[in-house]
Amino acid sequence: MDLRDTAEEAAFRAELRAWLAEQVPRHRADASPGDWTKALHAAGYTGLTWPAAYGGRGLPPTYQGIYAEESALAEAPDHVNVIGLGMVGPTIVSHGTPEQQKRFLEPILSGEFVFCQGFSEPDAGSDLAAVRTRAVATADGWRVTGEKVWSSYAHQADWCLLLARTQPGTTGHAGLTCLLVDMRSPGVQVLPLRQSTGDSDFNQIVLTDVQVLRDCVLGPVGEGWRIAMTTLAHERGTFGITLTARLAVEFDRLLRTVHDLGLADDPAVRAEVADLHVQLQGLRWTGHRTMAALARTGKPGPESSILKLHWSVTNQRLAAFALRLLGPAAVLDGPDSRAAGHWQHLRLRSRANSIEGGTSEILRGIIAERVLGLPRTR
Amino acid sequence: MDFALTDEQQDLQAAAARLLADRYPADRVAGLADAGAGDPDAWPHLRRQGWCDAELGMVEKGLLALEGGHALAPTAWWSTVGLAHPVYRAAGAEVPSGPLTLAWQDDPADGSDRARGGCRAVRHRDGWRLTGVRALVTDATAAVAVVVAAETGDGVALFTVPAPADGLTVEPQPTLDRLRGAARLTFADTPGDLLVAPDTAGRVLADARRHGSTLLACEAVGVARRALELARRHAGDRVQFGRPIGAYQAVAHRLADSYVTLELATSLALRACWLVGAATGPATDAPGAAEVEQAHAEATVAGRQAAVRACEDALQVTGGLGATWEYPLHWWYRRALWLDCFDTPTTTHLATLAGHLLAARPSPTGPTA
Repeated sequence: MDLRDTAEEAAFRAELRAWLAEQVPRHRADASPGDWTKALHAAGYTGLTWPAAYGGRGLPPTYQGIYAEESALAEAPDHVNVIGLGMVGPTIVSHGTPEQQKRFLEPILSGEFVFCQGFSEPDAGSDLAAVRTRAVATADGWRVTGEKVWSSYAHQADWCLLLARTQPGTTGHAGLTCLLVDMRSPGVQVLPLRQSTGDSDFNQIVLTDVQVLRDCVLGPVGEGWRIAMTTLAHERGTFGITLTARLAVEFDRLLRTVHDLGLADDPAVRAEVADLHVQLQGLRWTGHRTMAALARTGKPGPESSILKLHWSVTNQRLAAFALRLLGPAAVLDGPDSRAAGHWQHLRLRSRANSIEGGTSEILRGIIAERVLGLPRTR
Repeated sequence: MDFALTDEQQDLQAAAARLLADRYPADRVAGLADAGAGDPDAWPHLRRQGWCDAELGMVEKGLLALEGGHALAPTAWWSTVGLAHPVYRAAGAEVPSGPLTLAWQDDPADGSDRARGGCRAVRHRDGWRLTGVRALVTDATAAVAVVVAAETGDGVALFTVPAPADGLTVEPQPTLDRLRGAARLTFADTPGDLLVAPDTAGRVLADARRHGSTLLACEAVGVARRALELARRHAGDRVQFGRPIGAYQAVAHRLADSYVTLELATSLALRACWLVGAATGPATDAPGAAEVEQAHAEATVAGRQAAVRACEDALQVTGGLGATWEYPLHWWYRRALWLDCFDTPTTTHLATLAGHLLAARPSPTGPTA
């Protein structure tokens, strides 16, 4: 056990931090959302943990953790290809054909191919196995029809990793297949979803008789559920570290708000600030424990299951507290408000934290069943 | 960074868990608690397994404390190794081989009347003599010697007093947690040997208390883990409406949240141990005092939250059974309540953290302040 960076890790962190300090301000107003991915690739920060044979740097997961932490702390721009690099790429590494690896991996690394993910549907949210998008076999592949929702980056994506039902009449986990869908194919329509904040971070994808060639099936036909679970497992790797570092940024912003409002000596404010900090620290060090388990055993330990759940609870608590600090001025929004409506926006946005990426109810169910060994609640 | 236990640390923890599970099944713990007594034969077993070794690292001691909380081991190990040993070691004095404790707190019954309370030491020709009262002393009845903080006129110094001794009265008091009782110690011209002089005694006492309470953060994790285990087992066994109650989300989700609190506390307790250990180590990049102080406060707050919460969740899940005297859960709950209030209050730890966090306005790194 050693809670310090090794000399190599410290050097990597210092170099990355300096690079981010120089590059992040320069990319704040990027016209093209792929520019940041391209800049990362040019500097060698994509595919850190991918095997060298696939164009990665073959580094241990600890380095991906450092990258995730430092990028979030520096408030680096949204990484348009986070799905390609973090989820689809590793899935192609483990389940793709050599041809697919050759065709997709290098363009994912360079930012040439931006990926989105087509899993959730209007009637398949928490119950993902209820997917109804259907793929009908044709002479040279599949013809896909259906609707996908809550897809990030779909309006900018070149490709989509899609979960579809290839075997008619099946329900549940059986009969599903993962397909790599070219977003420029005829019959693909992307519509923005407007959230309660007014933003449109997500999209709806409508597929009408979209042709997918046979060489774009990822993994065996009918085993899409297993492949999709691999993909989601990759999401859970360092995601907790990213979320925690973003929370740390919000926490610093909260401290500034407390000072700016002249509330730094208020005992009730001090007590809540301190307790929020304890929760943040608990998340941070549990994230590091997860990384250590991942580095030693190849998979995150059971404690990793709490990160997203408790992050959402804490982020919501912080957002509510910050907005309350503003007093009656909290009713103002936009440029007239303190920090340009930041806390108003976060208060609204944070309510989705306990829904996106697995609802808190689903996550508690996973902990109860898989970690605590309780009987199934369904 | 590598925040994982080494193989040796895992082995040590597993061996400790086996010893304690063997000696202290829940019914024996309940029996000893009922009688208000510790295990009189514990010491040779703990010593043989190395629980008192000088070379034990802080993380190793934390793991032993964790297992001690899990088993609710009725021994004086924490008072001895957690509180007293650091004082003897700082003094460069020989460490007595039996159970020990540290007496530094005033009697709460004396209130703010400082003239009545406290303990004074006066130097005579043949050595120091102590007069006064120290209270809330843990494991005092088992101790072969007591480290006593006493006012010398030049400031507080630390003394060692053998037990029993002429002029020393050890008076056990009824306590909520019967396995970590409190005693009032009355000194009447009691001879004592000076361990640490006033110039450094303040720092040594503060370090010993921090050492002890860092281990208590680990003990709290062990208490939380045991309470969750009891609740888990009951939720799997107890059938109502034709199903084990753990199959109901209201029960399962409560225990999942208990687990969240436990894991957060585990991370912070182990980190605090590592920092306390590293701060006294030879490394040039040893953590600074402020970092150690904050980590200690974070671990204590999180540990207390986890222990109390896990016990209270377990009490709810175990229902009528958990409300009985016979079901042993309340002994762990009593320990959780002891942990929640012993020594520095949680509000003080939070104030310490707020002091660090709000000392200056952090400079913005991002686009919006």
